[in-house]
Amino acid sequence: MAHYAMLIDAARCTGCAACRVACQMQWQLPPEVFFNRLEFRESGKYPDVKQEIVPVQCMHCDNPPCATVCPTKATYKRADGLVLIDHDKCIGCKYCVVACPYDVRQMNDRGIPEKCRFCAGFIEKGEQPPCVSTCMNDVRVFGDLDDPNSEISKKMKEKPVYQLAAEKGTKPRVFYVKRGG
Amino acid sequence: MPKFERWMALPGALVLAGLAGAVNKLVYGEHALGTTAAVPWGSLIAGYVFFAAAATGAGLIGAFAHYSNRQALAPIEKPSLFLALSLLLAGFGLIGIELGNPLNLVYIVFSPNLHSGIWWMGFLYSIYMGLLMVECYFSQVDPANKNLKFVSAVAVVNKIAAVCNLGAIFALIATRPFWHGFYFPLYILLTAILSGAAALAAAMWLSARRQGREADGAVMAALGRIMLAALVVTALANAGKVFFGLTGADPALREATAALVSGPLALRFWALEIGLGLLVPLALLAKAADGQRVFRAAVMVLIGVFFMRLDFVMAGQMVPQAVVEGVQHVLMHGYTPTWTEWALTGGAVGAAALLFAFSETVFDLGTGATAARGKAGGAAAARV
Ligand code: SF4
Ligand code: SF4
Repeated sequence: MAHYAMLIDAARCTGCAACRVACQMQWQLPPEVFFNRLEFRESGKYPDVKQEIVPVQCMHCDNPPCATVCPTKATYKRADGLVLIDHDKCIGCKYCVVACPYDVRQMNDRGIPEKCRFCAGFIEKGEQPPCVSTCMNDVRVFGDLDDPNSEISKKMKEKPVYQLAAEKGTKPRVFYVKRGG
Repeated sequence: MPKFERWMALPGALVLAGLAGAVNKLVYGEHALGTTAAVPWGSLIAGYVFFAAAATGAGLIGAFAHYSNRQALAPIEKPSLFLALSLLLAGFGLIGIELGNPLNLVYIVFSPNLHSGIWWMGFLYSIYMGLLMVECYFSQVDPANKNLKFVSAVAVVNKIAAVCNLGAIFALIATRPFWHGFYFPLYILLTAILSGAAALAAAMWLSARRQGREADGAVMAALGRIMLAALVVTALANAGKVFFGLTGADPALREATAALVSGPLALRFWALEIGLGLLVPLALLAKAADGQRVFRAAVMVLIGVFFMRLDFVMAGQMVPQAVVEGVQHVLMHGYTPTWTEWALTGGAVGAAALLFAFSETVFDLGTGATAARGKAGGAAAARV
């Protein structure tokens, strides 16, 4: 069984937001709804200032608080690592939105909190999520961590990685390459 | 059959406003609300907590009256059941409209997640509603019935579990330090009793006025004493919450508490929650309480507790979460209820008032307002 994950090398990101637009096209989202976003971190003091860009999206947590709190199991964790939402079961209580530590849920017009789906339905056919394939700088690598020969497995071995807000115990499946690592 | 009485124009107008709000929410969905992805829970959730907790508190005080055999509290036994049911139905109405897809609630039964506080909330409050209906029924057919005693005993356990779980919905969310921990389930139980006593006092006073008589002094004084005791403990609990919040180790907890006492929520917190809802009623009730004074205190407490619920729901969400270390887009997330939310909340208040008045007229609550007794209302009131 595949176990999908994503590796993000934020140091390569130019902030062009093509990933966000590609995702919006893929899922036909209105302009104000987006499943991935860019966080801009500024540090240092003039004239020695730095800006880093960190892409953020649903982390497809292995211990997802959004699924733990969902009263109807509308949000659920699949065996292959994907955290998905069954629209038919969602009552629109927004408990998952409140419980997500990454602020990635977005309400759609039907009152269902949406988020990145790791392109379920496409990746099983061997396709890459458009946020990955659109990126001109190969910031994102998506693949199966259970396959030692996958690109993501190899890259994860090459460089030290970290997860966002790992101290919250959510065990994210989106990893970030450590800067200077 | 209940007839239109002049005073009903006000709650009736509130219900009409609420219906307009409901239509707007149905048509425009989330866009009709002031909530955002950053502050997903707004005044409708706070309103639901307010009504559900007050319903539980009223029920608990009714059970206390039932088991303690205190003469002064005997007249509230039946009204407490019908009032609790009216408040609960108003709360359910609010949450039903707040939910994006209420029809999918069937999956609460067919696909239950027993780890979810909201699942338990649905379960425990549905049972509460069922038990209340059974209690209301028994209260009418045979007040001395042993069945009523048994159902009431089960209902007490259910009420405490339901209201503590209502607090646990918030308290179990580890990512929101202002809510997280054992404090809120106990605090909501305490303030449920406060708001339940206030709702009962307001209902008993208004019921008497409706019949053109003075409210029973002993009942009002007893409810005043319950409110006074609950207010003192609530004041201490608030002081503790603020102290431990401001000195806590977690910066998000400190920021949320600061938002409440000296930030964007401060005016509402000090003026409405503490001033109007706590200190003025304390001062009013500390003196020998006549019915009118208890009623005034009760109304202030109800307004104060509503804002207490709103502030609590807000403070937990206003501090931005630390997703990427060193990045904070805004100091605080904002939220302003829309007219739709105010109209729905007002509509729920009006609906609860009309439902109680309706039940008073149709059933025998011992308040003297039963239609069947007609002009004998005054005599029945004298019995009370
Ligand atoms: S990032 Fe948020 S929405 Fe995604 S799985 Fe984790 S808790 Fe759920
Ligand atoms: S809004 Fe839907 S997906 Fe989220 S917790 Fe509620 S039922 Fe589950």
